[in-house]
Amino acid sequence: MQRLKRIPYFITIGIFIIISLFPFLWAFSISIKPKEMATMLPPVLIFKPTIVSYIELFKQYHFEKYLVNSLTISIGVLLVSLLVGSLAAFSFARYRVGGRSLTYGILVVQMIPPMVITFPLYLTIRALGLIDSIPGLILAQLTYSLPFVMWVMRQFFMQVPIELDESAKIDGASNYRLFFQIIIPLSIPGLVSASIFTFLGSWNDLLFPLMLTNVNAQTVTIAAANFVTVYNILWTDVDASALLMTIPPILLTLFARKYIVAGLVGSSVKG
Amino acid sequence: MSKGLDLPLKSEKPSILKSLGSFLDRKFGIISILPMLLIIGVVIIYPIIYLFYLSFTDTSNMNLIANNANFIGLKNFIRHFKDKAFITSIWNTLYFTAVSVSLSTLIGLFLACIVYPMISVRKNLMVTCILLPTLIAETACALIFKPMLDTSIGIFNYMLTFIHLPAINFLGDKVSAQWVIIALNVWQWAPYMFVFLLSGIESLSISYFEVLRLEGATFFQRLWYVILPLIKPIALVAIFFRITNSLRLFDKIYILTGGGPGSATDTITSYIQRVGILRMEFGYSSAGGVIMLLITAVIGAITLKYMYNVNE
Repeated sequence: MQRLKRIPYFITIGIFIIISLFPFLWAFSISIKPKEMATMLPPVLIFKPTIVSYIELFKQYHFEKYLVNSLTISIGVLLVSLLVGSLAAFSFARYRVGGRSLTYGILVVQMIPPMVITFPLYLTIRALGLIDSIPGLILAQLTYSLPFVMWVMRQFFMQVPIELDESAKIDGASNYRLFFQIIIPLSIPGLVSASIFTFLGSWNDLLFPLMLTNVNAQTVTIAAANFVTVYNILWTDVDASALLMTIPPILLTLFARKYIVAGLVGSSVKG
Repeated sequence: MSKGLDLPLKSEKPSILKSLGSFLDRKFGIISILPMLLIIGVVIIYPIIYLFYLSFTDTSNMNLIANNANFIGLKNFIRHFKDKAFITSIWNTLYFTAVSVSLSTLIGLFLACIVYPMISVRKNLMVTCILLPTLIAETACALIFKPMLDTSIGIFNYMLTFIHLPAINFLGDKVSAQWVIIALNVWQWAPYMFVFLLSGIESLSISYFEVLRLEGATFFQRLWYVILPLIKPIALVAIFFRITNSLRLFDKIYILTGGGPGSATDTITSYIQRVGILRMEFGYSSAGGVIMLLITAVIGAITLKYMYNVNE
């Protein structure tokens, strides 16, 4: 009886899981179909899988270039914002620089829609001679990743007990030593969460690469979007490129779920 | 002799380093925030000031190099407000934000309520299965759904005709295009709300639930009078992030509809981007940016105020 009662419950949950995963499975099935079968209706369910679309992406459209660009940019953004942001966040958390208004200040800066500053940023980056270059794009993406890292890391640093600072100071450690050798190792979970979201934010960005690059520094989002906006029809390639782009998020959900949940929720703990 | 000279030198060298070290150490507060201030200054503060300056001028790609842009007062803003497509894009943005944020909150809450009593292994599995849409690029989301939404050979229309319903021109019809955008937003962001709300409910003390069960409260009484008020602070934070994020909706529009049909799915971002690229009039586009900044600021301020009144 008890078991029977739970059947609708599990059906509901099953439906939600199907809704959230079906599009991925469908896209995957199209991406491994031979070209002539991809658009057939009713959908062909039994076919010989082929990776010809993926090979085409690399051979014909040079996806390796875009993947390398995206990876370089994301890691660059990650390193700069993690180092600079967590240092600043530590100061904010410990020395109460600016007080509460500064905390809200970071929140407010995070609210600014990227489109608002795109044109002045474009002119600034053009004046620096960095249009269509990887450093230029890294600089642009720091506009949202740096405030984000400061916000998340500040929350984590505030949970590290201040007694640790005091005992380290008494033992004669400098502030830098305290930060890099004591505080950082204790905040690894926070750093991992912040890194995941910073990396994904940069990897997933479309607007800045669209506005600030044209050939050399184009990212994988642009290359994939071009299949729809420029070439228009190659469905197997559309799905293959979308899935290639989704590899980092898939790996992260599988192996770092704990940090992702902690990062999502940790970024909201009251300051 | 050399020994006598060496000694003071040896003891002096470390002392310079030492005083430099202690100087740097005393200035830790400044040094630790200096790089951040520099970057924020170059990529946020300067562009924002520049934005306001540009919005009052007729700067375009033509007169930028010659440096002969003119100050034209509020003309850019007046031009914006006379542009029907721009006004539509503002309404669309507000409409998409309101509907998709409330729908994803409701669905997230529903899911959180039914997943909460699960044993933790199943709960983790559930979170893993449902989290993926939230983490993928909006671009990838749009690309995955684009073939499925195709009018003649997409799977959705095939399913509809399979159960003898009329096919829908998903992206060609005004209303359905808007709902496609909303549905994709909900598909992507309901899991986000779910994770937030689930951890909000989990942080509540188990004794609440015990007492309520003993008192004989129904599920909805428990939800409405106890759970909701207690998770309100964390829910509001999530809603705040979702609202500010929805206001900048762009990627899906760019790939799926390009703002069309007509300007039925144009958002402020997609409008400014398209017109900006087309005309390269930095002054005019910046005025659009200023308007967007003000809209975001007002909505953000209202949400924040509400948020911190609750949290206080």
